[in-house]
Amino acid sequence: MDNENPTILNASDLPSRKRQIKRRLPSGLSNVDMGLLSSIGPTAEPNDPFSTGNVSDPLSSGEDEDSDGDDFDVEQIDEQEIYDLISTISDPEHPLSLGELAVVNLPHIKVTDNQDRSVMSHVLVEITPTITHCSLATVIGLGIRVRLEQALPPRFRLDVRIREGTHSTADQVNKQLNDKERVAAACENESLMAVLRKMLETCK
Amino acid sequence: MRLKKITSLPPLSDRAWLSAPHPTLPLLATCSSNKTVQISSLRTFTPLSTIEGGHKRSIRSVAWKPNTGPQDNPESVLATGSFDATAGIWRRHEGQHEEHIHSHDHDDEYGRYGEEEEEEEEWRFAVVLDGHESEVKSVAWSAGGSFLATCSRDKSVWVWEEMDDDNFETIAVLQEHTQDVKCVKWHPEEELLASSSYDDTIRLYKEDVDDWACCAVLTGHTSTVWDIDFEKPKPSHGSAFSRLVSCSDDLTVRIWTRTSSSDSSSFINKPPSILRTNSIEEQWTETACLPAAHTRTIYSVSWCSSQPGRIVSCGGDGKLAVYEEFEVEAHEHGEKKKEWRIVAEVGGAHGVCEVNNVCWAKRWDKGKRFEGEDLVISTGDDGVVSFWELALE
Amino acid sequence: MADVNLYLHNVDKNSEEAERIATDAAKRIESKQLKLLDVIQSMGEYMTDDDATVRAKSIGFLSAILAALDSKALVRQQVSVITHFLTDRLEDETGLKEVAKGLIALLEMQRFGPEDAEKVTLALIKVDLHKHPQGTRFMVLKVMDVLFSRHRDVLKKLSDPFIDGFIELIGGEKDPRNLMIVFSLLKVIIIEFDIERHTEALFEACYVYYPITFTPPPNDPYGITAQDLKVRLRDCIAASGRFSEHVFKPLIDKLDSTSQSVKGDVLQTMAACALSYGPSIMAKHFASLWDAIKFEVLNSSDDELATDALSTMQAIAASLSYGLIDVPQPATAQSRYLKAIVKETLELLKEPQQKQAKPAGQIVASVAKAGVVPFAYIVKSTLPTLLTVYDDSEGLAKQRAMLEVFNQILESTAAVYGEWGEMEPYPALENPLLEFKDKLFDIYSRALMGVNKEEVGFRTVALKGLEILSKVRKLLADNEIGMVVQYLDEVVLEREEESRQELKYAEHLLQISTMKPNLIMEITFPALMATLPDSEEEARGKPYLVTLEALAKLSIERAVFEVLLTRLFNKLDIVIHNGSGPIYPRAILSTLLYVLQKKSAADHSDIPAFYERLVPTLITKTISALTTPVETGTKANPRALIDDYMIEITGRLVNLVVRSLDATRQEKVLQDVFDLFVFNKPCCIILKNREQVADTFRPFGPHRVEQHVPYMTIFTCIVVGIRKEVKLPVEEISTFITQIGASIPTISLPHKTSHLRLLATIINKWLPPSPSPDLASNEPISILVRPSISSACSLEDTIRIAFWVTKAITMKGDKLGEPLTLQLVDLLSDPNYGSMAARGFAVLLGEDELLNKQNYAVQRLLSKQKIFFLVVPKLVEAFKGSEQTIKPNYLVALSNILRHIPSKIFLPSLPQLVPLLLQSLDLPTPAKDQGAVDVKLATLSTLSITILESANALQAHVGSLITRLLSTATYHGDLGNPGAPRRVRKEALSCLRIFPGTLRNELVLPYKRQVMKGLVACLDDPKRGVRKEAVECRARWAQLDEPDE
Repeated sequence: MDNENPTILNASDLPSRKRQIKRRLPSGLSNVDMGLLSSIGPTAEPNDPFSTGNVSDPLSSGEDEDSDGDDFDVEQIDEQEIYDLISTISDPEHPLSLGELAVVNLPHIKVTDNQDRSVMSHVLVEITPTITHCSLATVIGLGIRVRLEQALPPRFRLDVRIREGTHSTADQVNKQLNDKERVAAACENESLMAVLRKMLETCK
Repeated sequence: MRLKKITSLPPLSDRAWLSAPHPTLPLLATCSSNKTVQISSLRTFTPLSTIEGGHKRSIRSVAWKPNTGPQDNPESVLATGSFDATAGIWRRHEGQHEEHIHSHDHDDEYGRYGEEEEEEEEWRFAVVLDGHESEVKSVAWSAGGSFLATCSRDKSVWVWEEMDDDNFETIAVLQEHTQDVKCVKWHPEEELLASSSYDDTIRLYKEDVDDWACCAVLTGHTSTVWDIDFEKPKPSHGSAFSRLVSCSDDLTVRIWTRTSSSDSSSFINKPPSILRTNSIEEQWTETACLPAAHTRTIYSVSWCSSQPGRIVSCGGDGKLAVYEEFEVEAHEHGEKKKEWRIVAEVGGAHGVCEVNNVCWAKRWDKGKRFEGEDLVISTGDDGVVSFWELALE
Repeated sequence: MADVNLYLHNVDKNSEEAERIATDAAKRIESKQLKLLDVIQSMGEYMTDDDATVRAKSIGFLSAILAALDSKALVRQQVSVITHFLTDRLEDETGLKEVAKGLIALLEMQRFGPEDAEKVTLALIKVDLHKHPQGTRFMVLKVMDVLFSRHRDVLKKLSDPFIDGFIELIGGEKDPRNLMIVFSLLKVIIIEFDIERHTEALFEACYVYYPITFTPPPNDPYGITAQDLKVRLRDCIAASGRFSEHVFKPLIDKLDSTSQSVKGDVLQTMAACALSYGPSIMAKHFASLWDAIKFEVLNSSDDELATDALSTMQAIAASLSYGLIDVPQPATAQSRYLKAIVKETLELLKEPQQKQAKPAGQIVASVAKAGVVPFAYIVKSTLPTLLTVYDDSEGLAKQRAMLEVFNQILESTAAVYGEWGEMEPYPALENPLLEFKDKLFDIYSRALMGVNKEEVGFRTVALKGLEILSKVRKLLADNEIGMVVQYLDEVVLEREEESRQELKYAEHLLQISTMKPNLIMEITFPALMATLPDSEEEARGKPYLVTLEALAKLSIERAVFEVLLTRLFNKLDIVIHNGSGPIYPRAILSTLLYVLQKKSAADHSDIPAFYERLVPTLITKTISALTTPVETGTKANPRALIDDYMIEITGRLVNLVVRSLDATRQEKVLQDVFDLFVFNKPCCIILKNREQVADTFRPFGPHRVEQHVPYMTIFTCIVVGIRKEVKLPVEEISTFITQIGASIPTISLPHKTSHLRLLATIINKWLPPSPSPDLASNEPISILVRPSISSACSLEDTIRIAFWVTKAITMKGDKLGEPLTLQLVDLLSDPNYGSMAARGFAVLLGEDELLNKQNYAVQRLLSKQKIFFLVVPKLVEAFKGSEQTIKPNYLVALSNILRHIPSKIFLPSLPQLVPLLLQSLDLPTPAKDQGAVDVKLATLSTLSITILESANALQAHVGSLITRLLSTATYHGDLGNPGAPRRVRKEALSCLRIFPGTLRNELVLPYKRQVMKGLVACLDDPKRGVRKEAVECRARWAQLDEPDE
């Protein structure tokens, strides 16, 4: 094990999407056990199950970020979404996540999600190995690349790089991580994929 | 000048790596990461058959054996290079179509090849070429078809010679590169082999008496050199003159010209190899760096055989670019100067996907506009093979 | 003698018969008709028979007799003869099992003396047990077991030869059942016998079985588990300190085993030994043990193992400090052990942000829990250093990590010194924390209140620390705990929504209120009430909702609720007087509703006591706001009390109280309410100007006043809560029902529901059962549900009435249920009302908030199932024959039914339902049409249940289901037909996600490529929530191993 005692962050401190809790009083009194705040007085009139047209906000689930905004305006893919996809990947050596080990950090991710979906967009992820001679930097980089290639639509071009000055052999690792053919070949190598699958199991 | 899309083949189930046109027949072979090679017709742009079952992993490269066309020996031979660290040789008897093809090879009255009657292709998986320790990245037949070159991530380039049927012998294992070898290409006429690699260099090899040796190292690229292609020589060129184009992850396409070469003098006065004084050495220099057309890795480049001084390239930015060499009025001391310019570009050639391979091919389909017209074939990550024609504005 | 013969003859063929012969012989011996010696003589010839089985069976006969004999039956002399007879047979070793059985019976005889015991023992330990089958070995061990329980002192006297013999006897035993006896006997020997000269041999006899890796056979009759064996063996090994020299070295070596269960067993055995061997022995071994087990915590990859290791460390600490009452002298083993621990962990604790700080903290905390002495030592040797590290550490991150270390250590204080209210005696040694209390309190207070509000993580840890300190008895003074309460009150009023939520102030307040209720009443209540604004304007932008929530959560107990009730009613009056809009008053009333709902859910018995103070006051307030003219000039806004939602909340409040009353009080209330709402007579529910109200208040009946109609909601809420046995103060129920039915069409939509519910309640609880299932002959129901030719009642209203009436009828299982339900099914085929009817089925089967069991509605257990089995086959049938425009009605009806039926009921009929469910996936679901969205969601959840619980029903449809789910999940981009709304797309993906792993692989694999390709589009869905679901779904399908592999 290269680094027995790495510095770790507290999971609850890791950057997360702030839930826009718009304090809207949902309709209907039926959801009584959802805590006082949501049962204080209905806003829309009690909906009539018979009628089709009632435009009142459907099942009032208050905080659920899905329910606000109409159903089709586009929520762009942003840095936080990329971070959420990769921060829960587990480190091959420690029972800890890349987020907790600060290997991936929100400020080191850059996304250009092109409005026009027929044009390529771009994601850059810079990773910070816990120590400068970490032999697992390539596997971690590959894990991130495989996770994002599976989770992002094909229009995204992906670059995964070791951050400047954080690793002794950064250049070789970067070259390998961004060689499309070697990544493709690695994904067909059973034993390597078994390691990656274990790292990605903890993604939620 | 504009690249206009003629049509596309129906998408394969997985990423398509490379397409190779048959040297003489209107056929195209496309290899894919779904472990198969698809044979399609260049006359009707329709898939004809699929070769499968030979490799356990993606097939990265495919090459037709030249001059084995129907004239003398009614058989097509195909070489495949795969990530399963082996190369494969496939044969198909063309015999039953003889009456169509045998008519003299006059273009307009060409036989209708293979499209009407139900094509009962059966490609025989003749030989497995074992030896490489890791993924095979590229395969290439020498001009006469007598040699087959393969290269792999194990940093080696192998040269095979076909003895009698289905028996190949390794006549050279070249360990010159210090990293993963990406591509091998034979000179269109001479028995000169070139390879490009992850170690940012291009190397050339020749047979020196009885064994093959490196006769030139071309450095200049600052990152992986993905593809190389020789220019088709023209009578006007001197025997020493030859040019090679290369494309790289450093986003440049460069032209290399051979200035001197000890043409393979006869055997007699050749001193025994151990004493030889590197007489096979060749001098290649970088003579041009084409204008930048790509914003991401350039994966493939191809020299047009019918039209002199025309090159097409493709890359990870999903773009195709065609360059041409122009004679330019020189400044005071009047000698002619050559200059490359981008004459045509098309973005999003394969939707939002990267383009892995591009090459020229003789045009066989009905839309052919003039004799000897070449079209561009592009192969992409979306599993699609597209055909483009160069249209004047 | 015939008996032996008969017995031998029957013993194989018919064991009961043989048993009977033996018992019969025993009886005759007891009654002296037969002499035992004669029996033995009669067996003589069989005894010498050369066929071993005959010899064995004849002894079996004797054993059976002995077993049947009464324990006093044999005289001293007979016992010794038989003992002699049987012990001789032991050497013979044939029929050993039968001999053993005989001995077991013999040992039970009263006159079986010590010499007999000695003779048997000496013979027994000479038996070579190994060659015998497991059953025989068991019998012999049973004999030994009985000897141990009845003649232990004989065995002790035999001492050395016995112990050697015993070890020899049990050597190599493998059978779990036998081992259970062996281990328990070994334990007795180790503890009670003088094993001076046998320590080595006895340890070997035990340790040879270590570690137990036994897996019980599938249908194991005896049900012995590996754990049973492990515990019993562990008891043997831990039984005597003498083993300490032999046991620890091999145990430590076994810790390198790769098997987690073996390592766990080893750690637990070490702990058992430490606790049992005591301080003097452990003094020699703690060092080697500590070096071996610390690795299991500091570099642990398995939480369970870490916990085992921690409890071993704790056991050693407890064992070493046994009997100590003060901090150990430096040189003693106790202090050397603790010193080694502190030395190892303190360095790591100083770097709180590193990974190993947490395990180091766990070690320190668990050892501290071992007892008062280790606790004192740990606190005194770590806190001073750590406090200085805290003071010099800059940056919240490091301070926060250090606070977490403090919390780990403080956690053990409560375990050692107990919490407020615990009864155990307070330890003699003074709590060492007292010395650091002020410093810690100060650090935590500044961390909670002195830092900017957004630092939620930091403040949460600080709050946790304060709570731990407040819980430990006799640590913080009351005023200090009072300050913690004040901090929490300030947090409640903080502006930042998010930080308030994170800090979960309410739970902490509740925690403290259970320990110190007075503090909450004196400090929190007044503080929170004071912040409540007095009017709507003042309330705008103020977080009064959060204050109300805090108050509500604290006021579930009776005493507190009473205070809240008075305070909130006064506030309501002030707010109304200040002319407030509806929102703020609504919030106040809802707070009361929230508390009452919690009390009712916890069925508190004090609810009826609040009737007087709540119901009349509320009803008077609301109705007088209606009937008394508004005095101009004051900005008072009584109107606020009478908007639809205030009435709805008032109704619910009143319902909760009324339904808790007993029948007699309910009768009085019912009469009052009828006087007020129906008969327009003055009633005592109205507290002031009753006549005026009686004259003007006309919510119901032919000459009703339109604005009074909404008030019927309160009337319905009360009537709904009345018990069945209370009589309705109405002469003719059916006329009253018809009157209500007639009024429904003329009422505006929002208030129809209260009348429909009133109608349903009365039919359900008070309408006598219908005489015959013939609908036509059944007044008043037939009139209600028959579409009137006159335009008086629109078809929509008739349908609404029909569904509510049918609901009331079917709930009580009335005969009319079936015809009424079938009538509803026919409605579905109506081109213009069919879709409305289809939605009606949600009302028919859905759980109504008021018409339910808590409100005494008659609810037959199987009423829903009956509807299901009646309606669904008809739906499936009608669906086939119906044309395209009508088909959706049947699909909508089906989904609305399945939503409300437990899955185990509809699973059997799924095969015919699946085709319909699949087609309902194709129904268009425009986002605006709430009904359509609900149906689609219902269909998807039914399909998910089907996949999970009855996959074979789907076998033939996997392909078409996958294709439909993919198209439902895909956002089609072109705005013309954007596809299903977001929640439906997401639900479709989560349904698709459960295929792999639930359905058999070969059913699912062929579609893997299609799904992986199809999901690519969903990865680019405009909505983040849908994308996340698509990623999860695609990852699950990707794991399906490649088809051709």
